[in-house]
Amino acid sequence: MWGETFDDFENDEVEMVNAKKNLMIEPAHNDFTFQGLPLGIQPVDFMKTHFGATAGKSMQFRKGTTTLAFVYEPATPNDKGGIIVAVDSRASSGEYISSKSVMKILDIGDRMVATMAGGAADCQFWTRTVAKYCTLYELREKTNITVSAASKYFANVLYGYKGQGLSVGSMVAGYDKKGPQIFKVDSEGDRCSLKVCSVGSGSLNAYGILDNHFKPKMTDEEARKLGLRAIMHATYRDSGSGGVCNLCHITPTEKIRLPPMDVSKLWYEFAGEISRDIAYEPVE
Amino acid sequence: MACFNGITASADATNQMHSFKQAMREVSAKPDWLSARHIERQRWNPYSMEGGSTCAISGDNFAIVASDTRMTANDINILTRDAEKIQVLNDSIILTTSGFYGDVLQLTKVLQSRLHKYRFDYRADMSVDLCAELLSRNLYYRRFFPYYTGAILAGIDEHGKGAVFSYDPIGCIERLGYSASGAAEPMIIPFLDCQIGHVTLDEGYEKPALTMERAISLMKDSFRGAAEREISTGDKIHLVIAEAGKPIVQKFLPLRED
Amino acid sequence: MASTDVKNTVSHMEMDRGGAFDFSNCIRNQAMCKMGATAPTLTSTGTTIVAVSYKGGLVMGADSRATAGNIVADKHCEKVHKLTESIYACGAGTAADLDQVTKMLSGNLRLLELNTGRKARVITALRQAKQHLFNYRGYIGAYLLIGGVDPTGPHLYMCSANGTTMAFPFTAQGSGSYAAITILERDFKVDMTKEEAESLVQRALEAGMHGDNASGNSLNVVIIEPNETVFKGPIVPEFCKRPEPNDLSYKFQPGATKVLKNKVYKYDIVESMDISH
Repeated sequence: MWGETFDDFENDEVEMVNAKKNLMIEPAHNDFTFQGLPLGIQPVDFMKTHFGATAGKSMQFRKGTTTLAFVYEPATPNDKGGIIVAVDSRASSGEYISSKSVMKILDIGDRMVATMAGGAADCQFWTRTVAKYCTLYELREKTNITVSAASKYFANVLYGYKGQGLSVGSMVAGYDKKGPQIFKVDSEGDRCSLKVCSVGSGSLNAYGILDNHFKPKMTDEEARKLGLRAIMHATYRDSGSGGVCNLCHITPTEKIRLPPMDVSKLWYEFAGEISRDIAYEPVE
Repeated sequence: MACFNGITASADATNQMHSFKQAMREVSAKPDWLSARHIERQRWNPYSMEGGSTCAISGDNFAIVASDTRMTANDINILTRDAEKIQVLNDSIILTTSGFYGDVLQLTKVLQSRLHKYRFDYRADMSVDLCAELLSRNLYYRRFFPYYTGAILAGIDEHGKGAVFSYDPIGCIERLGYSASGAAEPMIIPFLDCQIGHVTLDEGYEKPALTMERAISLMKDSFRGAAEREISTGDKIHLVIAEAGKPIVQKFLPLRED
Repeated sequence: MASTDVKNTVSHMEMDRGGAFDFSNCIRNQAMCKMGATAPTLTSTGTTIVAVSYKGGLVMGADSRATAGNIVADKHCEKVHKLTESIYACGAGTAADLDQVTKMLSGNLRLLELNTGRKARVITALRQAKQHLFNYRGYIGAYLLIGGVDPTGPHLYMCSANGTTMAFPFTAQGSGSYAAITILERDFKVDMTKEEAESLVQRALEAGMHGDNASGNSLNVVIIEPNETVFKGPIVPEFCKRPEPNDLSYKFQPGATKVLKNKVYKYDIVESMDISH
């Protein structure tokens, strides 16, 4: 401080109180204070050096995924139709599988979910932020938020952090007054509405199955099976995906979460169906 | 042993060959030994790694946390043989962290002060579920300058059940039955997957129940195994046992010291 | 060769074809790293090696742990290499380089002994090692303690990977040398007895194994005297033993693993061969 005298040190106690207060400060809503790096250090390079491929296994961020979602209409009056969201459950740090039981379908509201692909912590944290925004919106406006609005908020937040190294590839899916909706949102700031959608390292494999077998009108049983099958085949061919398949069925009236299914058990199940032998047999 | 990892087979072989030739041209124009090493030296590094491993197992009415007590500099030199890597935050929350010890201390201090504040505000101890979320968010607030730590939070939750929460350095949170972090994580986890997760057993086969005695034995054995083959793990096991309705017990057990 | 020439030959992958070393993969490997591959790690014996001379002889010793990164790759690695009957070398550094260098030295020294009809001198072994290592400018990661007894008495030399050599009455090398040298500095005396020297080496090694992560498991000692050479080991110090056995036994009962498929193959043995030797 300029022109400081000895008398000024009486303020020490006050300063100490302020310092203590600042240590325990909680960020105000919607205003996250991220501690930055010292001036002149590039965050993206810094992350790459210390948490990138050369870092220790436990220091790499968790990532890697296959997620998919699609909209379908009921084939018979007995079926509900709606949205199927299916995901795998693997989180990898480099080539190490750091978790095989991650829940990658995150709730945003009663009628809306977001899937998680890319950096696991990024998705978890920002999905929470979106969920809070939606809740506050509904309290304020006394009406349900649309999927479009929620995903737009999500995309805007991510766009604000563009170029700083966030890695998010999320699908916001849910039912609102316009019907079933899926929006794909990513950390580049991209946002688009899709009927059939897949994100993650195994997405190409999942698309292969989805594009082959998807029909606009399906029974619930067919639709769920398609979700499982696409995830199973993606986990079979993509080393970044695996574990169990979590499936969420959003119908016009409710959100049904199905119990997790082990993908290797699914493999045996589907292998019989396509009459392929499960054990390796050398040619004699 | 000698193999290159990381290049995955691509369907587009010609394209890959093209980029490989491009890389060859670039490298021979400017080989590594002329430049990169000097740049590497100048990089700013605020972190160091103090080695060691930590592990936590939860059961029906208990949670067990263990870590070794060795602290290492540069993977080689031993700084101390009785470092405390497990912090008992209150009667039902235990935090254990591996990684950069400076960040470990800072993180502990932040959590302790927040728990203290909570006690004043609500006149009750924080539950482990709440603390887990708090830790996750505090880790994420340092998204662009992360804590260099692999944290595990364990304890007894509001229903009297054991809880283990596992984190990555920027706060990806997950509740698990068991978790490990640190240098020997890739050795301990497969062992626990086999003995607690029973991933290798046939479905019809009888699986031993996870009693507290069995969990403690598995915990000890996993550290004994890690100390055999992982150089920065050793000296002592710091074992912390939390059982629902009972005070937290702490124990130290010997490990090999070489 | 001028440095531009080196660069040219290296990038054209022609250097040392058929010679002792082949550098042709250097550029290729760097190109692969540039494309995102990670290079394999070398097994480096982070080590404690100790040698002490005493009246009329020399004691050398080493621990037996070989590490690859932070994993113990070998618990019973042999780091005391025999060069001749009365010259030994202890090595720290890259395991493969050490094996090759000591193998080359022992071969050359044996040839020399046969050609001259005399015992090789320690200084000869040292000169051979340092000339070889200097040629490769430290890229051969061999850090050696070369010691032995020849007609001119006991000698102990240190040879670093870049070709630096020094003579010592006692010394330690490797990652555990800091801990080991403290014991040597404190307790070394000139003209010790054999027993004193042996115990000193053992204590210094134990200090290195205790204080250094990359050393441990067991120790080997060789005592070289003009007439006889005694090899002792492996000796396992108390702190290198498991303090407690495992709590549980991990035996899987038959039936624990699911059998997916059974198939029986029948073979006719037409001809058998003894491969025991």
